[in-house]
Amino acid sequence: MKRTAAILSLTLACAPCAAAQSEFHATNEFSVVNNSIKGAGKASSSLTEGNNFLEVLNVYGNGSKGAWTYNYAAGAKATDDERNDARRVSLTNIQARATNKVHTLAVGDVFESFSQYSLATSLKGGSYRFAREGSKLPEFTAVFGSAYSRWDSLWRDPVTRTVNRQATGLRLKQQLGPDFWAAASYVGAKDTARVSAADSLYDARNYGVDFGYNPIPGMTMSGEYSSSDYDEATNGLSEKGAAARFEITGDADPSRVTLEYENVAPDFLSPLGSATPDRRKLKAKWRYKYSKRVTFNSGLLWYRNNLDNNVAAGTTYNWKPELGVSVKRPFAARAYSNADLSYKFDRKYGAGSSGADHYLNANYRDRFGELDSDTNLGYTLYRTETDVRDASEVTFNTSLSSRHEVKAVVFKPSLNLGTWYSKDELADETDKFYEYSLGLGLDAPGANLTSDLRLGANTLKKSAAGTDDSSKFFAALSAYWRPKLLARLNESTLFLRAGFNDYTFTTTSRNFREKSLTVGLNTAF
Amino acid sequence: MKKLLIIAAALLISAGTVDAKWWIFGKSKAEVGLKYLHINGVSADETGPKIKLFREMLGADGLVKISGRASGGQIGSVRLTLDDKATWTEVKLAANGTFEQSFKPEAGRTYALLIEVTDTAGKMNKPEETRKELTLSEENVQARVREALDALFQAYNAEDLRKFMAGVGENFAADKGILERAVKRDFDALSAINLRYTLNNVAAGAQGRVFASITFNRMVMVNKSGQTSTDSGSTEFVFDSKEGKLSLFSMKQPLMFGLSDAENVAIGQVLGGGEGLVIGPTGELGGDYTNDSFTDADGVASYDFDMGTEDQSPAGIGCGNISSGHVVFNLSGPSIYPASGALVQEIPGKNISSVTLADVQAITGTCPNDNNSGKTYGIKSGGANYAMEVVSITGAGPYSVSIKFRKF
Repeated sequence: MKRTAAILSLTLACAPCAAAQSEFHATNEFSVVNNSIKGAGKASSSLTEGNNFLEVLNVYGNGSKGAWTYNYAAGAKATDDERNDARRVSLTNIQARATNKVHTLAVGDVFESFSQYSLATSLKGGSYRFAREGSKLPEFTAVFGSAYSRWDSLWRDPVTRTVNRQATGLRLKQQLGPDFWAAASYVGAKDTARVSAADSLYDARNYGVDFGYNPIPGMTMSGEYSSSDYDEATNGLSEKGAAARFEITGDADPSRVTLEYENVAPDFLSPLGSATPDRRKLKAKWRYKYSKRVTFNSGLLWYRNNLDNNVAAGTTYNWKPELGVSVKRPFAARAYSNADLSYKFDRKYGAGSSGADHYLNANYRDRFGELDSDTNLGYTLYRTETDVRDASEVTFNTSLSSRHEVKAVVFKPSLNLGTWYSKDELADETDKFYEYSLGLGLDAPGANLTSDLRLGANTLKKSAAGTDDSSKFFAALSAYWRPKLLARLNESTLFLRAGFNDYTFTTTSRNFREKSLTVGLNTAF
Repeated sequence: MKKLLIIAAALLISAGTVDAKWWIFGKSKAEVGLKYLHINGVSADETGPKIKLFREMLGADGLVKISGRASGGQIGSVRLTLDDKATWTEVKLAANGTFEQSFKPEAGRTYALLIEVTDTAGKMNKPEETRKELTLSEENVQARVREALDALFQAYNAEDLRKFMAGVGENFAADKGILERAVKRDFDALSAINLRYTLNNVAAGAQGRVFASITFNRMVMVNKSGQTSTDSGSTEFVFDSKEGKLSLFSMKQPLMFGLSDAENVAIGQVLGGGEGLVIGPTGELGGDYTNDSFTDADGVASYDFDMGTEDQSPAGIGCGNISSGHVVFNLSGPSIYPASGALVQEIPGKNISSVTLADVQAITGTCPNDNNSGKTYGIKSGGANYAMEVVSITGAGPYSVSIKFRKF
């Protein structure tokens, strides 16, 4: 049955291909990579040794026939590197959509995003929508399919096999005035065909309403209420829960203000939507343009859990206020100067935890002659009353870059320096990290060539006994060339990427070196 | 719930009668200029100087809509140019200074948009300050997703928080403020981050949202321990295009970003995807694992990780012959081997917190015959992957066994 459904979906998705088409495009990227890894610690590398390839093909197009317009897209990927994909050949996407401005049909990958709590994921299946512009009839959407994240799972490929989550959704949306709409949704999700005995199997139903309202120019309100009712077979659970959220935004210079409230019950389940159960949240944000040069940002986020007082450890509360200011031209004489300063506070307490973290950050960007600079200084203080993490950390990064044109060639040299310092007060240990890198970009617009060479090193110094210091030297080259020879293939680009990483540790048996060379051709027509 | 409905109703009723914009806490100086400018519904303040448009972002008519409001006293006229001041078009102006103009862009062409506002006294704004370069891309949605993911991955690899957060939408489902702090903690906890991905599946749909599933491959250095960790797997993202470009709307576990507060950052888990790497409150790698201990009298016991139970008298004898559970303990050896249909192999240098899915996927062994205490093993059984750390084996019949294990 599933195979039949899959074949049907694919057949339907390909149907427009056979029809008269007005536009067709394809993109293809083929690359070959050679990775070489040496050293006693080579098992730590994330590269696959040897020669591998990656092929990615996408086709898409659109057209019309009578009163109907249609579009379609399909893609496939092939590789022999398991780190690129567990499957050697796989279908990445396939979709066909046809509409006559009233009825819309879609098959294949369908993503009918109803609302945050009801349906916010894509399905492999089909959908239908009725919407008549200018009519008082409501907009109606129906969707069905499987919530697999990839097509291979649909035919239960052994490598990508997973729980089958069958979904059905219905939505009715009505415009109740020029500035106000409301909608009601139903989404059902039923899990079957688990892989292991421990996999949860849900049979869930979500019923919800949501709305949007623009009472006056610049102000928007939106909200949603959703109720869930589910059974879980593995643990024999049957629960009901509800979630609600409300948001109001006022946006007009010089201010933008957002207020949010959310309450998600512990037993609320949204298998196809987006929700964090057991959370009550309040949020306020205010961006204020004090002048053309100065903008203030402030925010407060508060949330807690244990809404039904059933968490044995107790309730955890979180306070997260923040304040920031951005200044354009803080020094009037410096036309390209920009400064940002921000402070964030993170307070968490309850359920045996108590932490108060402070984050301070300052950023300054400017241009000195032909040199662009970007400098960042951060200070973080982690504080806990339960001796989990008491540390102070300092981060500093600066980058200098420039651009020079010499005849038909553009040179873009750059320098990056960075350091991170961490003092762990509980363990009385210190970690230090240093990094530098040099870059040289080289563009030859006349020859359709862009390239970038970057090399540098970083070092992690640790004071704790039994831990390794480490360092990494790295070099990376990337080049993209659109030769005139391939102009017939429109956007064809030849590319080359080369990388070298040399990792060294105090324990020399962990040392390893990686060399990687990738060449490829990207074609579009 | 009733309180919420009452508050919502009160706000809805009161807002409809409000004349003043209560959220405006001050006024800019009365200079001639633009109070606001929107390009296809996106505030020009929130875009960079260059705006890339995609066909999916245009309406059915394929038009780009420019709307705004002139400010600074009595406005006489508003003109705009799309060709860097070569030609100007006067736009129709409402009495309150608002205006709207549309044009149909051609793919691949760059439009230099500037807006000139003049008041009745002849005073003008500085058009250069309104300059935006617009291009209509010929790319499809896959290219858009890759562009958005590339920007996020590059910023995360470079530990550049400002650039990373620029790719996250204001409406990020689990809250942008929570993600920002979690990513900052990630950057304090990790170095030498190397994330790579390939796309598995992309689907664009209603409300401008785009779904993407990827296969990822990751290597990180954990500052606290000085150890490297690698893993790979599949995960899912949803992007929002309300802000004129694709911005991150939600992520599932295994997480790519915000590992330091995975519980609050992730919206659910990829079916069969596991939890992946997470960073604990101390800045070290951690993850949910289960502790268990049991005793066995005869020295042979099998263990089932899914059920969390041992079988003290398993059927069959020898490596790979025992038909219950996933792994078999020969406690007198001591040694360990797989139950029927499984693979088991030691993963040296790792413990239950640092072992990754990639480590387990790489095993090929069947019957290690060694001292188990303190060692970590990968187990492959059917389509599932497990890791187990043998904490201790003591006694000589009865034996006491203590283990930690996790499923990926």
